[in-house]
Amino acid sequence: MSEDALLSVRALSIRVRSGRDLKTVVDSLSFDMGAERVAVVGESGSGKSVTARALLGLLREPLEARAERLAFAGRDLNQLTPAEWSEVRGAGLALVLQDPRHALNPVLRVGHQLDESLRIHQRLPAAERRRRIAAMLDAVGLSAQRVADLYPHQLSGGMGQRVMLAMMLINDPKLLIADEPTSALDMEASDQVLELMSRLVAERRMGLLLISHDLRQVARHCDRVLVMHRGRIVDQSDASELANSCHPYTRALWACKPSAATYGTVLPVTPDLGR
Amino acid sequence: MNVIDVRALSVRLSANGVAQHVLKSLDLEVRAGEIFGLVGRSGCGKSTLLRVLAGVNRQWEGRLRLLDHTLTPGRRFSGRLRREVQMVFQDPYASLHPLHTVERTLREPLSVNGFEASRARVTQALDEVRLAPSLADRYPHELSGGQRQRVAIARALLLKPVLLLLDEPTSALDLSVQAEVLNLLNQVKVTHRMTLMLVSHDRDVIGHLCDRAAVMQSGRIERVLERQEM
Repeated sequence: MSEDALLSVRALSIRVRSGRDLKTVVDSLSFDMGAERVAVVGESGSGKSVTARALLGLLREPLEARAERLAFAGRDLNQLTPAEWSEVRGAGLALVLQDPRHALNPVLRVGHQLDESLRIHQRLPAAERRRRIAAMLDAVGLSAQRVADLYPHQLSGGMGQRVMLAMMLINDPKLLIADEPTSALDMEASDQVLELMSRLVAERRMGLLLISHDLRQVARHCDRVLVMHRGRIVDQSDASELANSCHPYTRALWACKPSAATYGTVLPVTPDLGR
Repeated sequence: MNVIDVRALSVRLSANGVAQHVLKSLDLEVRAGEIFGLVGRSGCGKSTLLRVLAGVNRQWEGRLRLLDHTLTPGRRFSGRLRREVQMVFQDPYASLHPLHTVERTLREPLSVNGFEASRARVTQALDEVRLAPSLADRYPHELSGGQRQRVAIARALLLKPVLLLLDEPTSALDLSVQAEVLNLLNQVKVTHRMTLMLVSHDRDVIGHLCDRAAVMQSGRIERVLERQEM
């Protein structure tokens, strides 16, 4: 275990209770990451989204998480009180969710929502807050003049996700966790948002944990990839080495994407690895 | 022979008293035995066109020949056409009855059309889309997304359609599950000698599956792509 890891996870297990049964959905997961861009890739049901929520302390009954060690920037997350969690979330660790139309508050203007997240975590004069909001919206490629007074339903999917990103980055967190941030967007907008996210994270020397089911897409935007299947990390590699992975599951995930070049062929399907 | 022959098809929809010209005098031919794709941004009218061809939307103008029937606007499909044209929708969760088991879902179209609706026939239909016979007793919420979409495809195939219409059949699925469904579609096209028409916003899916495709923009067909142009 490296001492300077931004996030250190040891033997994280997540279980779901139904009646008297305990079903393991994430099984003894361990990884470290620094200020780098790491992707967690897997099919639906592989446990990648609950892992993200566990890292932010957001799991509720009937889900429960246990870890030998869960540390963020040297701080033990296992021991945090609810008040301390509120301090860490947003300011240290931030989360971008799937669909901005559900994640943003529908009855508050965009500018108001950004201002709120600043006021919760910092004490700043109003003029300074306005300046930061304008700068942040500018950084995600939006004009504060045009967007700040809009409501979420007036934004396109791509704009909504940029607003979400601005809201998450405005308190300068050290680690951004993004759970399928572009699955509600069309392919063009999706690549633009990932590109932007990846660039901002690199500029700010933050860590990015990107959760996705599209192996090829994340490979273009991340440094390292962890492949999850049925609650376990089955393969990991540098993004540039993914195409050469010899793990059968990774190979199938890599090759199952259709294109004009695969016309007339049978697409590989992921092998069932069993438990 | 053309399975679909559309001439000067127009559709106007009115929402909140404002009439909108959704399809603007559109011409289209789809040949027997091909997989024909419709691509375009959301709102270009591709789903509307599919709903006209499925007989769901009956308010249209123009000339429309489907298989060897000439259709009349405002009239429901009748006779063989009701069996021969089947549709698979984008979200299988919304298109399967939540309170019906898979078995009931699959038996209903059979008994309605006067076919033998036995458990054996249901098992056979499930087998065709590579689902285990035991799934027949489950409800839609007890299936995964890929399994649900395969049940929806099994239901459409039961009546041995000549034309299968598919509206974004894989956009709600993971890539790996999408691969399974795309393989299945390629396979049923051969085994059933069907014509497939597929709507998708994903050019990669169209490129993988289709023999020809039309690019739609604001209610018109911009151009038809032959295989080598994809």
